[in-house]
Parts: sequence; structure tokens; C-alpha cells
Amino acid sequence: MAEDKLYRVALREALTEEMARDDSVFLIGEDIGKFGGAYRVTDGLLDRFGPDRVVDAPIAEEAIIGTAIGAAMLGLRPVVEMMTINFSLIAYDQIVNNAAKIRYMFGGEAKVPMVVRMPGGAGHQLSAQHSHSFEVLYGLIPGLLVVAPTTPEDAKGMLKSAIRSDNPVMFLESMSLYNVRGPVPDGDYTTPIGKAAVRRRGSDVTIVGVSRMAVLAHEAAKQLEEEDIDAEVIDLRSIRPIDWNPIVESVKRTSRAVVVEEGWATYGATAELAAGIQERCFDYLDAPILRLGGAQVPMPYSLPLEKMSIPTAEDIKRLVRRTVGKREVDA
Amino acid sequence: MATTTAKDTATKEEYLQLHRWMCMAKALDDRMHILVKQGRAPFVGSSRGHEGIQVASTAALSPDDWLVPHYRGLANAIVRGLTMKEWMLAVFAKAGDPLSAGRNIPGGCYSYHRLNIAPVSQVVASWVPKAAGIAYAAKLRGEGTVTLCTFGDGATSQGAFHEGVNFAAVHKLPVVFVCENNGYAISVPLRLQMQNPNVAERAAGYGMAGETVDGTDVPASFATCREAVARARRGEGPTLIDAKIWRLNSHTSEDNQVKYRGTEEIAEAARHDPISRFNGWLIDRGWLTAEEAAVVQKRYDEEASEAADWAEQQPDPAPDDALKNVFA
Repeated sequence: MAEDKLYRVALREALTEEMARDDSVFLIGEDIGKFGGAYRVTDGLLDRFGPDRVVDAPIAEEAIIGTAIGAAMLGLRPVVEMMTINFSLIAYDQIVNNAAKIRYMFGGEAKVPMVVRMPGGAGHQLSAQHSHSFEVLYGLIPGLLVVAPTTPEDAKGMLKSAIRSDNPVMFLESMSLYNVRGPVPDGDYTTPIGKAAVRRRGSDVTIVGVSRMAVLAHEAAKQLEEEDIDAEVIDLRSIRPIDWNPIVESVKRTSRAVVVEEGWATYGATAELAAGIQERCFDYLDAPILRLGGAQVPMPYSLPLEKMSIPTAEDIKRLVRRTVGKREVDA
Repeated sequence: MATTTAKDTATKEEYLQLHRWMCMAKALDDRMHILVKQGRAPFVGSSRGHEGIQVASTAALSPDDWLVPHYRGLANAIVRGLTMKEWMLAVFAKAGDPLSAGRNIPGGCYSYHRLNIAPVSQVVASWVPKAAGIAYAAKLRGEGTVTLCTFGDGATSQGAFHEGVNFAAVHKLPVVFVCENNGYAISVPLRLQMQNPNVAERAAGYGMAGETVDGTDVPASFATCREAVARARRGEGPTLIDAKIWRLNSHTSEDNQVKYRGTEEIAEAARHDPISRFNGWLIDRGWLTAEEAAVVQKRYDEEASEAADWAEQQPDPAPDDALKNVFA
């Protein structure tokens, strides 16, 4: 059985169930108590679990992540909420120089079972300092696991996996997905970290989407049916490690690939995907791999400017047409 | 209405000017809330409750001085000379918005070089070291200018706050740091932010001057800020001012403060409106009548409404300009 639930509710269920299951799990972040979190993910958890396990922290991201790392090294399982992924930059040293490296630098003596949840993405007129897609900043770092679930089912299952993981997990949520509804299986389940998901089978082209772009890619693929283009859609889900098998298997069948991310594509997640695909599938490719990302600007506040700075399903369709050799169809 | 504890340090005309600026800020603030309710504007970060300390601190500056404000600094910008129409262009993110050209969140996130206002950041406290840097540059260049840096109590938890204030103290920089202490970091109350609620007492640790003032008391705030600016200008280094105020509205239009403050406290906050208090003080002195105060407010309310209607009709930024200004 599965009931339809909001993405944010699925996340809350994962937190609630894991906190009930394991006393070592606690939450720390800004405005996660009475306020219920900037995106209402932690609503009600302070009442249920009390202020020792739902910690409203001062505005001090370096301290929040630093204390979480310390607590994790001593065996707790902190789940940090960054109000936006943008604020994680203040704690970047703690994440990169500490959380990611502590196990390696000390010969496997310590581990850091910490989850850092953080919303990213644009589309809400929050402008340049609250609208980032930073998959690549964390995907770059050995020692971190990085995931970006796009469905309520995955949000819950992957958050549970992240909490149970003995490694630091960067858990990238998309602001635009919190109000998305979808089926969530009953009972305790986990969704593995390190596995991509094939969202649609197709034979003409493989579209790999990162975070919310996987959702848009799916929409684009459905619309392309009308143009007799049969696109396969893969939701990357796990930014690090990348699950190459389904991507490679797919591209070998379709011989064409389009890779899409919401953030800046230069040196971006799509650069890694395109490079990896050509390394593994060069002899099978019939066309150059095409990449799509957002406009190379700090995200503007003005609605018309913001809209033109974020990739759309139309943009994805345009690239797919190009790679399958179809002429531009005027909208 | 409590009266001020400060001696007179300004003239009647100066006080009346401070009063007008506060009323202008309130008019814009109230109008922005109406626009959001009407669905005409997407967002407002309110400055209600902060007007007193904002006009007092900013009016203590000279035109060549620098303002490095936080994102609730509407009244600061007005004192520097920002017009209502300019503010509303930012609210509607129009092409002619002089504060960010439609690029940044309105409600206090602005930059205005012509008025010596440095760019505002939404990343709390990130501007404190920048303020120290602006003051350092002014000192090196022998300009004799003072930098006013404002922030909320929430910002004082950040590492960047400590690092910036400490640098300013070490180099005896001409900066006035004003903590507009409204007791909340969004929803997190002071008791969960700091053990010692008196931010100014930290000044001793940095080896600089510290002052605590009731930020709803305009004459007292003005006197304190003037002295701090004078101290900076004399080359005696920075001052850390803790101005105790009350936040009258929610953090922004994105939240409902009832959830984390409760109706009793919100009602109490409304009794600490610096504008009402200053009205009372001016009326007690016979410098203003209640009728005159109402007329002033009404005039600005109308002007704010007209500015909004005008700004809404101005052109949006051109899509072709979206990629402009990424590089110099």
C-alpha cells in the first residue's frame, strides 16, 4: 500500500520514524523548533521530541555543522538542517576539511554519521543568495555521500538511508519539490544511496536529470511522444557516488544523451556526466552529448529574469530534438 | 508613554526631521504589506519597530560617511536620501530600480553608491567584516569618514561578526557597530542565542567602547550614536552599540510570528512602537500636536501609495539584460 503524501511530509515522516527508532538521532538547525523549519519540514517535532533532540541553534552555521560533527564522532546521529544550501558555504570548511576527511586522516579511527539537509534550487524569487544549485560543490569531495531525491517516496527512503549511514551525507532538497505529492509506501523502508532510477523507458535518446531537472526531463519526455520521439529518462538521485550502470546501459541502446541540471553547467554536474558517458559509451554514440544548465548569472529576483535563468521542459525538448536530428519545431 | 532619559542633544528641527523620516519608513513598510496582501508584490521584510534606532544612527552620519546596513534597514536608506519612488521600484523589481536593478530581494536588500550605501547581503553578518574593510580603506586613504554598520541580534552569533568587530578594534577603525537587538533571530529568542543578553558587554572583550541604549527612545539613541560617530571621527576607534528594540511584525511576509511568539508578546511589542513613543515625546514638549502627527503620517501614507502605483507601471528589466554585470 502507498498513500499520496507531500515531499515535505515524507521527509518529516522519515525524521520522526528514525528519531523514534534510534535515540541517537537528533536535529539541529535554525528555526527548526517552534517555527517548524523554514520549509516546515520539522513541524511538530519539537513538541514530540523536546528541545534536547530538536535544537534551535543560534545563527552560526559553522558552529551548527561543527557541533554536529563532534556529536557524530562520539556516536550520535545528527541531522542538520541548513535553512538554505547557500548558508552551508559558511560551514564549507567544516564539511570539506573536517566531515569529509576525518575518517581518512585518522586511519579509520573515527566516523561521522551526520546528515546535512539543505534546500536548493531557484524559482521562488529568492534571488542570488538563496537560489543555489550546488550539487557540484559537494559531489566533488571524496568522503561525502551526496543525494538529491525528487519524489516523496525517495525523499523518505533516502533520508532514512542517510540517517543510518555511517558516512556524512549531503542531502539536497529542492525548494520547488516540497509541495509535490506522490505515493509513499507504508511501513519502514529505505531507498539505497548510490542508485539512479529509470523514470521512463525509451529508445531514441537518454535524458539524465539532476535533482528537479529529472522531473522536468520526465515532463519533456512525455510531451515529446507527440513528436514521435521516445526518450528514456534517468533520475540521477545519487550525485556521489554516480550509478553509471543504468546510464551506460541506456546510452548504449539509445546512442544519444542529453544531461540536465538546474545550476551552472560549466564545470557542473552535467560536465561530469557528459565526460563519464563518453568515456564509457564513445563507440555507441551517434551524436554529441548535449548539456543544459541554468543561465550563468547570480539568480535575479525579477520574475521575468528569473524565469529565463532556469531551464524549462521546453529547453530540454529543444536539446533532445537537436540530438535526434529533428528540426526545430516552433512552439 | 515613557519619556527619554537623555539630555537634549539636538534641535527641535532636527528632531522633527527624524520624526518625518520615521513616518516615511512606516508608510512604505505598511504599503508593502498591503501590496503583498493584494498579491501585487511577492515579499516584504518589515522594519517596523526598528525606525527609531535606524534614523538616529544614520542621521548621526555626514553625507560622505558610509552606511553598511542589514536587510531590515529601510529607515536607514531614507535618511541617506532614498525616495519613495526609488524604494517602490525595488519592491516591484523594475528595470529602473536603483538599488539592485531588479536583481535582489526588496525590503532592505539594496546598494546605492550615490548615497554611500554599501551592498546588503542576505547572509547574516557577512557584511560586518566588509564594514571593517570599508573603514580600513577610508583610514588608509585619510578620508576621515566614518562607517555605520548595522545588524540584528541574530548576526552576533556568527563567526563573521566576531572576526569583523575584532579587526576593527585592533586597527582602531572609524566604525560604529549598531546591533538592532529585537530579541529574535527569525523565530529563535535571545535566550537560545546568547547567555549574556547585553551585546555591548562584549565590547570590553574586544577592547573597544560599548554602549547600551533603548532603541525605542529616539533622543537617547540619537545622543548615543552621535557620540559614537564623534569618537570614531576623533580616531578613538569603533563602538559597539546594543539598541534594545521590539520587532513589531513577523520576520518577513513568509512567516507568521504568532506561532513562535504568542499573541500576548506580540501585543506587548506593539506597545513599544518607537514612532508612538517619539510622537508622545514631541507632543509633551509642545513641538508637535497629535493632529499634526496624524497629518504627517497620512501625507506619507498617500505618497507611498502613489509611489507604489507609479512603480508598478514601470517597465520590467529587459530579458536581454539578464547577463549584464556578471563581470566588470
